[in-house]
Amino acid sequence: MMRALPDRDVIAGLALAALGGFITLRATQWDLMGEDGPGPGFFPLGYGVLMLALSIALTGRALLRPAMRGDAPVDVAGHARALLTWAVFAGTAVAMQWIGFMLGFALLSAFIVAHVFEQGWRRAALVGIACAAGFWVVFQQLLGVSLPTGPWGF
Amino acid sequence: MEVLGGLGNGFAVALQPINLMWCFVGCFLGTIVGILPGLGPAATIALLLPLTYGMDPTGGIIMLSGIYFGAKYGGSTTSILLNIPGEASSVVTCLDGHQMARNGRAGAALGIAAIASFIAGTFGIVALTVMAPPIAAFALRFSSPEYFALMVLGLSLVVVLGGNSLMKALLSLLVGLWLTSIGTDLFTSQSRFTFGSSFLISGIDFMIIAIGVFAIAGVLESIKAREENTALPVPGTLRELLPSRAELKACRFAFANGSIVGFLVGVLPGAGSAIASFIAYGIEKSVSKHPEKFGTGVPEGVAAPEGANNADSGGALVPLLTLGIPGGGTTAILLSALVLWGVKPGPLMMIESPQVFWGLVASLYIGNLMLLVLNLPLVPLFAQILRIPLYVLFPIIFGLSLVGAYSVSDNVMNLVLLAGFGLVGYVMAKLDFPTAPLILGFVLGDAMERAVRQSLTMSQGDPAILVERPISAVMLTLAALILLTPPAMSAWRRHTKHQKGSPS
Repeated sequence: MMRALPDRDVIAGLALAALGGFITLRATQWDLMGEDGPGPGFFPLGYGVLMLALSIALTGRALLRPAMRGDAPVDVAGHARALLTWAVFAGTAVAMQWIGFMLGFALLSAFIVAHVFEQGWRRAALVGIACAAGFWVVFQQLLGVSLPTGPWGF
Repeated sequence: MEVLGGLGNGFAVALQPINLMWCFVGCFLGTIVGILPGLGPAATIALLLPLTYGMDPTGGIIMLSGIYFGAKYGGSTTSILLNIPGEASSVVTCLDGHQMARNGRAGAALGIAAIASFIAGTFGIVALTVMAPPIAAFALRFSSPEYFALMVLGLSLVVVLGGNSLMKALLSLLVGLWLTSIGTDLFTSQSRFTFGSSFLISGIDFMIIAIGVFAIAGVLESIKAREENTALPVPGTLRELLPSRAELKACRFAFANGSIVGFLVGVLPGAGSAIASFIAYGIEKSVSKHPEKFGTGVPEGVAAPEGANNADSGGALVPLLTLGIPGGGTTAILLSALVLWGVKPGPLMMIESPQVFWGLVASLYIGNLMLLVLNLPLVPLFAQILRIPLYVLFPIIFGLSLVGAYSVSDNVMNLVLLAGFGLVGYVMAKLDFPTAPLILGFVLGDAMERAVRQSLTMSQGDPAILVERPISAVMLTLAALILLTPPAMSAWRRHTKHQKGSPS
């Protein structure tokens, strides 16, 4: 499914203007210049103000630019697939403190095989178990790398 | 003589059996991971760096340099057989390399890529060996104002050359500077931007950002594009991998062109191997007797960009090792790795850690030769990696990323940050924001802040110190010219266009 979305530069410009404003505000709450020289707020104030100015310029330029008829359409389905994969990756990363690396990684791998590549749950389970087992052998057993452990000890 | 003596000592270190083994392991692993679609040298080094944590600095750095060169070699295999560039610098190799493979000359294309990489890579290392000592000696005169000016100059080049939009590259750099400020202030122990989290007091580790922005974002991009493995077959014997005499003859100029262009562009911060490979390809095409054949599978169309891509590595190490200034994402990761081992790249590196410096340079010579010997006979084996289905490869890359991020400090919060930076990298790519300035801003931010604050402390708050000292003044003037030239040119073009368009 392809669809045109709001101008990317406007979105980016507004987000960065908010960040620049936040940095500038916080920097002014710290010492800018003391007897011994510049304080902790000096450098952040410099790049915060610059970020604010540049992001406002980026937004303004995007808003003033004439609308392009030939703008490339956005691949909504592709983005949704990537963002869902990211959400599962992030969720697994958070959950690893409770369920451990092995189970989390096996579930993540199985999701990628089954959902992203549509390979069926049987193959997904096989790849998930094989990947987790391979990592357990190589990193935890052979290289002695420490990994998050679940209640069952791995 | 001093260079030869240092290099001799370096070879004595690098030729020790244990270091030779690390060099081999680095080349082998770098090539394997570099072959994986979507992973360029920066992501490869970021992913494999945790493997070297427990090693002694010399062995670790030697292995890392093997990974660096191996990853560069590996990228050409993906471009030629899959038509998927692992990074921007491999895009040009796809043009003729994949066409050669489609014409049944996959073996010759891979062979030419390996030979060009070896010749140009060696040229780059020789030039690094000769140029590094005088540049480092000159840089010994630098104090805080000069270092600040040097970093401004380097970052201005990165911003101008690193992306399509100067404004976006600058914003990306500023985000990198902000990220590096998170944590405790260098001078006063004031917590900055920690949002009340004790985890953030020690700051964000560079590896988390590098793996997230390069590896995780790269996989998400491949998932979005739904890339598939359709690798072309590779001949199984060494004889079929060697290019013909006519093909080698056609590449003579391309070997020299790629070597010189790659090294010179590599020295410039921000220019990177992508620009080097495009320029070398452009020169090759413009001097060719049959430019119309470029893009249909001509061997010199593979040799020039692949040579430039590898000579660039030697060039990129010049500012890193002599000035402590990385010119791109990959060298920024190398800088972090060196610092991790207690080695500080810069003009004093040759004096304080000669064993590491010359050991590293010598291992580059050995690694480059090792890669040629390793690559030609093992290409059929490496090519099999491309036959591994992506639904197995992507979980492995995610797994390596998670292990790498967790091993930084054994904290699950690192995994959460990793996911966050993966999303940041993906969104940046979608919004056309270059990631290299962000990485360099993060790596140089601390040093830059320290330099400017020390300078102003030296002058009791008078900013004139930055322009009163000649070296610093020249560098800041150059930086201003670099940053102001593109918008000035663009305004001039608009003005002339407007004048031509208006009725007289």
